Amino acid sequence: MKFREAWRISKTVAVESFIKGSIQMAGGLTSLSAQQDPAKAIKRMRMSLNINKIVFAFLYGLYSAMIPLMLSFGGRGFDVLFATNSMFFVLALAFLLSFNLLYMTSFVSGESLTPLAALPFSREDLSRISILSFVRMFDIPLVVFLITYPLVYWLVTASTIGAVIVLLLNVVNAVMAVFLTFFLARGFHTRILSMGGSKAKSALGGVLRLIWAFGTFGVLYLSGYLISWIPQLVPFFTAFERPEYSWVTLIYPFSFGYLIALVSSSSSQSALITSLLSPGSIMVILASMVYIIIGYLAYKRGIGALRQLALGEIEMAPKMTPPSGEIRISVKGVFSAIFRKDLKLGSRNMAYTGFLFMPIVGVVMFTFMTSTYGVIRVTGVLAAALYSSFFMVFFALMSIQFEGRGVSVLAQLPISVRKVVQAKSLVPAAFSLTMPAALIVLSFFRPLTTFYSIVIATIQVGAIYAGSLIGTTLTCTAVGEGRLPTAPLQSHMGAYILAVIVSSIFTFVPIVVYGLTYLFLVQDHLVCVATMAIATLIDVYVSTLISKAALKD
Amino acid sequence: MSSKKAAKIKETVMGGAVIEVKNLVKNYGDKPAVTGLSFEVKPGEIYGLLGPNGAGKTTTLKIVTGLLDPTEGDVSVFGVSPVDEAVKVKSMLGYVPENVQLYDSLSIREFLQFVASIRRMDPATANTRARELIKAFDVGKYFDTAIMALSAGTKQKVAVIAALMHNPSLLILDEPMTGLDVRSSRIFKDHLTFHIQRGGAILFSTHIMEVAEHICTRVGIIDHGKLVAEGTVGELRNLIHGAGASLEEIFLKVTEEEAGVADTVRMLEEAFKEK
Repeated sequence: MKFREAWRISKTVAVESFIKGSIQMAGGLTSLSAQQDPAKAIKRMRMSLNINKIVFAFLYGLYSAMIPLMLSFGGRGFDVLFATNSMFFVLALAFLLSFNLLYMTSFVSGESLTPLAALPFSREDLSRISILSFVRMFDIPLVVFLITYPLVYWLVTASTIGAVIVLLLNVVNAVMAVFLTFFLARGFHTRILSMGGSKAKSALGGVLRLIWAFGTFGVLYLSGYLISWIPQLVPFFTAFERPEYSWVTLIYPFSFGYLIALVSSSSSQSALITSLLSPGSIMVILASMVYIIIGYLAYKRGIGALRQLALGEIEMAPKMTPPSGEIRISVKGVFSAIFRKDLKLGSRNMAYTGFLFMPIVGVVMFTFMTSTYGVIRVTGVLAAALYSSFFMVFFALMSIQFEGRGVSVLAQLPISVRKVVQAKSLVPAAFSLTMPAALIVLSFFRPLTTFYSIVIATIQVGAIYAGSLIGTTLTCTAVGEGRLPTAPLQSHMGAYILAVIVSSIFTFVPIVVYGLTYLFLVQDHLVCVATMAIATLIDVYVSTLISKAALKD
Repeated sequence: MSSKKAAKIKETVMGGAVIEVKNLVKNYGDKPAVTGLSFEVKPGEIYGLLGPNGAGKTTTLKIVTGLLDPTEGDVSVFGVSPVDEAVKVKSMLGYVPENVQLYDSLSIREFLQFVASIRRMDPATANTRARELIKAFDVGKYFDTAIMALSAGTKQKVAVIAALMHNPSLLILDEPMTGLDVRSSRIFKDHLTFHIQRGGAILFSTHIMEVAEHICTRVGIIDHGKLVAEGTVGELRNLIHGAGASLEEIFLKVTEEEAGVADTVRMLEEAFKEK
């Protein structure tokens, strides 16, 4: 098959993967037929795919350009170049991993290559189409990502050979990221996502999910701060030149950073040759070559794995679990049943499980950030609450999305949409209680400036409930016309964005009230906490009133 | 069946029908799906809704269960409107949809626990019924396995168990035999017979004429969203083709597809003559 033909076919497969994946994640394949105009819904989803690509391309571009631009703060010596390149490769790997994990679901659940499997295509043709379809899902962001860093690096260092090597190693890094994504995704489904078993096994599953949350989201937080820390990190990297630390330069991807710095910082060709021939450099070059070979092998193996994934040959599902004990079901109350179900669906979804742990991740990250003061300050707690709240209300909205095909089950059961929405809002609120709990634990290691920090984090739980309630109510009203929406949220982008904005406002109001009271009225934490509590109560009252008015009981 | 339910059914019998559909119209935008459909399902009967693809069967069933609102017309289930009191209607029926969609990441145990909890079932009753149904449909070995890892047939069994577990007076079944193995299919059919013998009612949709012929006490054939024929298989036979006609022949006759089918078969034979 010619490349052009494979490229043409891959477009259909990529778009189909996204749309099918979105529909399956939402209401199932029959949901579009129940909509007013399925053609319009598909058009909106295609538009949503393109908007996603542009947003990610912008983020990748900004991120890739920021790191080399930081060179101007630290000079252009070998140490700075080593630090900058190494940090870029570390963070690029982590960044790509995080986003790939979030979007892997579309490609996996689509199984869009399956119709082609019945046609007379060879395995090689299908492999080529699958890799091109996967690339197409990220085409614009990927091109921007691969080109921006080498380009800005070349502009800043004027080292053409350095920029070319950066480009080559950037490709290797991206391939490694895709390959690792695939294995992590499989690991999540086959190892972390386990059913039944003992309480100890369930607890271990919870710990693994917390690690997953730190891995996928913590790195996004960290990357933002590490970029600004590059100048401070430079002295740390000079230690790697000392003989006792030199082995670190052989570790992936520090060897890439070392090699590029070596090539870019040499003043002349003879100086470059001299430095390349030193024993340390030869070791680094050999290590880099090994990583390039591993990258090539990952690419070769990755193509096959992608084809199998796209054809549904690789089961991204948990293994069969033998029944644990007798056939027995435990009947709960209605709210408890929805709460438990949402908790299970959320924590077993590769893309969303991290959201549940955002209060802990947020608190740890923000208190870690303010560690220079040696105490946990109220500003850090407010910032942590703000960030965590956004993720929690987003989780509430996503809890409608990850109902998946099961939304039709819920619609068949004798329960009103209003009750479902209320129960759904309790999940992020309950998980937000980990925010004050994490603060209490951290206060044993680092003192709080005031006890009110814990009160602030506790009051914010109410605001998260109000934000979640208003967000899910708006989604059901605008997308589902008063019912649980069976249409994918991507097909109603406007309503979805509105729900995110309104729910964020409801969640942020108490924090803003606290801040304004402290800044403009009285610098007394007790008064500020009291105004925050009043704002939260109003928040909960208004959101409950709106929910009651908008949805039938 | 509880005395409360029996009283409700008795009340319905006196009032006439379990399901009453009058002049039902449903449009998707400009596209009509159901155009003036009327029928009734009485206690103790299995009413089979037959029709070609896109005739409006699934849409009709979804409206009756309260999953969709009609554009026009009246629908009542046990005298209750699914439009005004959808939750009440849903509590009285069990529904197996055409495309079974369950919570993929829950295990069968977790799924049945969820359904029983939402239906506010008595824990002891829920456990007894769940145990028996799981044994009957032979899904015990998958009890703690995630639904996403199950075969289509096993998922169908889980959906059937979830619909039967609360012992509803009315069952609404959209192509319920899809994917069921011979054993489960037989057990399910026998259970349906037992259900109507106790005064329950079933609204049933299928493409498989043999199933309809053997199970349904009365059938309604719909085409282009309208009822084109209704009665017992015997009545339709007498009306249209005479003795000996199968339901398939009756179906093709009333949907005016008999001649079309013959022409299409001839054309296909012509097209595939060359080896």
